[in-house]
Amino acid sequence: MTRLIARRLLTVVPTLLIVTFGVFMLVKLSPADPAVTAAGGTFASQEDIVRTRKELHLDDSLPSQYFRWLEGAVQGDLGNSYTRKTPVIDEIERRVPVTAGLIIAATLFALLIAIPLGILSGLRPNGGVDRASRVYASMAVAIPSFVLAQILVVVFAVQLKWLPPSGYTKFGSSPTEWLRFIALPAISLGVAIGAAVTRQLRGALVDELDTNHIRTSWAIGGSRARVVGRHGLKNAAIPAITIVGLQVAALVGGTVIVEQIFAIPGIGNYLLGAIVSGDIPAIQGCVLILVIVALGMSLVVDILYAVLNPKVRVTG
Amino acid sequence: MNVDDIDDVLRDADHLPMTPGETVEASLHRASARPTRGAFRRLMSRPGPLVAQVYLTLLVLAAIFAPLVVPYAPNDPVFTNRFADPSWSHLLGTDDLGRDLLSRLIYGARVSLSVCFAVIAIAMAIGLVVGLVSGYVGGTTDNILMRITDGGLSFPPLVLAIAVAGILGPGIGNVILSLSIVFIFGLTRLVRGTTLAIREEPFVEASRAAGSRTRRILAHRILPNVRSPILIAATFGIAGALVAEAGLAYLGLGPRPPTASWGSMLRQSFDRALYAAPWQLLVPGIAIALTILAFTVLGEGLRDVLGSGRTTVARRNERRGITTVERPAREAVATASAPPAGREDALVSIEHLSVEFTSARGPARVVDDVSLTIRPGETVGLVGESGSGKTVTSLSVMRLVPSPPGRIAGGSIFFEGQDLLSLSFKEMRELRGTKISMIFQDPMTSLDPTYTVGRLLLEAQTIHQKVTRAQGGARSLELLEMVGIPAPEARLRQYAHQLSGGLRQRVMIAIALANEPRLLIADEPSTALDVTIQAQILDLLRSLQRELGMAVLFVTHDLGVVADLCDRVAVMYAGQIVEEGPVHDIFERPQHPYTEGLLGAMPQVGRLEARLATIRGQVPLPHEFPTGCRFAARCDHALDECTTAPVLLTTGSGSDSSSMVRCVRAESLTLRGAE
Repeated sequence: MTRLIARRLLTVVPTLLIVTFGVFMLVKLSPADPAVTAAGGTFASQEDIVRTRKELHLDDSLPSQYFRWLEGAVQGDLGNSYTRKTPVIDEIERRVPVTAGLIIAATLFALLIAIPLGILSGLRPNGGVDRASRVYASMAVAIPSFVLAQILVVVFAVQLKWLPPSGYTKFGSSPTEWLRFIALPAISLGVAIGAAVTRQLRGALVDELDTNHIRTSWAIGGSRARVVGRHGLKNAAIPAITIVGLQVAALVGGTVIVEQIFAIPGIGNYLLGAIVSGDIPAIQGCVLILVIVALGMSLVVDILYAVLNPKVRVTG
Repeated sequence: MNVDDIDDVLRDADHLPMTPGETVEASLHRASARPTRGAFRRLMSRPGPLVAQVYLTLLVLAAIFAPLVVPYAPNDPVFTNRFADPSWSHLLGTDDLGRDLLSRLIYGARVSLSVCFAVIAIAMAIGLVVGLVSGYVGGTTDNILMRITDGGLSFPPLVLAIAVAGILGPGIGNVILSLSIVFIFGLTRLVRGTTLAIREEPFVEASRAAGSRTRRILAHRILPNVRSPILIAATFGIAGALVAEAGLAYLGLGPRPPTASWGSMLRQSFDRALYAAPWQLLVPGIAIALTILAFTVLGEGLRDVLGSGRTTVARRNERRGITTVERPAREAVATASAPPAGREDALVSIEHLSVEFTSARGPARVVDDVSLTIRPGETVGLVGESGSGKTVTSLSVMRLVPSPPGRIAGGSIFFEGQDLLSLSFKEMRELRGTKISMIFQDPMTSLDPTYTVGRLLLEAQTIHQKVTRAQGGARSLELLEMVGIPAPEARLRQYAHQLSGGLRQRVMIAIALANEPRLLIADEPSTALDVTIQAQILDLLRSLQRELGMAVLFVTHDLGVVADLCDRVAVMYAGQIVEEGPVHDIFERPQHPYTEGLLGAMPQVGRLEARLATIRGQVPLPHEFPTGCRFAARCDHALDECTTAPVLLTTGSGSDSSSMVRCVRAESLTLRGAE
């Protein structure tokens, strides 16, 4: 098990190297001169710009700039913000819990829907629940999270006034307030994951209940609860968890837009602010963190997969 | 919208080339299997894709001819007419600057669609070249290219697009560039995977062996086969690009105002009309949703007609763990009470059992009027080719025929005087694993892979009785020893996949015997195993039968096994028993030509002929069962009278009064037995 995790971590290393290089290279796309931005924008004097360029080593060769940046990043130093002059990592540290909270809330909401709906649909394929969940899934595929977010705002915040249209409170200061603020964003993101997981779970369960080992479970006299619950669901959970992981990783992109709609001070919000002001270290930092979150998710999925699937666990 | 397709869309969500995953390659390269000719006609014969195609055609036409079709100039403000409700002059109303929403929507389609098409075209062109080279050349080139692709794929797609577009600044060109980058990686991987698979196909190998030039092979052999999966991925990709474009535009990274795309219209209405006219959000929202849906349905349809992966989703059914019984009412009354005279002493007596399967062509009677008795401690063989109904008969005793499509359509099965076909699930469940146990043909898949052998053995006990962990553990060890498994303590902690086929079947037997059943049903328990292991399993079953004194119903296609193990044998053909009697009689003097055929096909030591006989033809399908003798078409002894009327099972001329045969010529034929 530990060997499996270690090996999986090792395979992430080359990917991370390429990813960090990609993130670093983002700077070079910029049509504006980073030194100008860092020196204070259009009002900066020529001397300031020259000095800043030297300070930021912008005249060094590309590889040496990259390794300098990478060396910092490995030690948790993502450079200073061009605009605020404070370390990017501080800002990111402040904002990671916000985005993580949103992702977790969205995932929990999705599972809250998907587990019962997937099981009920899987137990009675083509029954009423199954048909309903199919319609739900079709709509979830077609409606992007940010469109759904807007509709939710109109209905629940503007018309019904049940929930605030935007804003944020820390979970630490008031969990209930946090929930009121996070509910609509989490639902907008969670609906799509919920749909995918529902259908995956349903399909896996239906397939599972037709397998030979389920026939064995019936043959030894298992009750329906035992056969479906202990044998069917346990096996069906394996592919379903993979989908949860893939979906949550894909959701990371969606958080950027949804944070914007609901004015949630997370990483995505920071990223957009940095984009507007051309704050390249901040952009790099945000993208890097979001990639790491997505890679981390797939790592967690792999490990969970191994926990549930003895074939991988024992031989791995 | 055809909601039935949604599962495939979701489960193959990785068709969107944005998401990584080997499964894409696995499922898509199969698309090459079917010819593309006539695919469009087949696609348009389906209602979902047809509607989607019509909608998209209209949309594209409207976008192309926007200047001709729109009622108003899209960007001209009319400040006197802000937030107008829909009316005849403004079908969708006007926005905060009094601009006609319908006109803006159509012009927005122009932007959104051209961005999507451009993105997919660019990503496709690059992905195709890089993927083909990577897949075909292989080696270090492939390795390096795939590392880069993996890196690209590990960016959450939207994040990469936002970062690139954000740094480049707003504008349609930058949107196209940033989204193309996102899509290139997925498409490259797809093309590379498909190429890799096709490269190994015999026809490509043949081209290579014939000395064709690489470029020629790529262009004429591989490219045509990569076409279908690419087309499918592109269609799904456009839907993905549409979402991404709208997302970027929503964030202000789309076209520069006043030019609108659907995404920027969405943002505008959210910012400016949220309180004044919130319904305006729906205008771009619905347009986006419908268009995504249309591309998804089209992609799904394409995948079906191009024959990639699951084309026909098997209709699945609820599984309740017991076979439905639908007997004609009068029969239930007549037979449900007790087994008929003369068979009271039988442990099991199957009486006139009929089992039907529903199929597209109506009900198929796969077991027809089968009667069979097993006395306590007796081993009875049930023999026949695949499709003879022997497995269904044996599963019926356990009520384990999957329902639907199967159902018991008539007859009774008495076990210790009780009709199993009138029991509820709960009553049946109490017999399963206690008095009647079953082992199956495929030991590789018959054990739950997620539990250890120990847990499975313990479960077999605890389901039916109160057992402490220690007692259960001791009994499990005892059972494993009984079925001849060496080092049982270690095996208890292992999972099914760690055991060989023979060991798994021994574990299966141990589970079946955990509660000392009176009847063991063994459905081809050795067929899937190696020949030497087969013999071991059969020896084990024989010795266990003697030791425990249980009755065994042994289902097999192998008469040699029957001779070895059984007291009596019933031969099934096309859903009917054609001959039944003591093993000795049947081997020596078969009375049915089919039995003779089976015996002739059995390898025997010391036989003089070098060649094994075969029975020509095949078992007919249940829908094609003839009215007369079902074997007549394959029979060397058939006469005209054989095919006119159903043939009945009659008492045969064997030494045992219980021997039965279903042949009109049984009296006159002298058939050849085994030596």
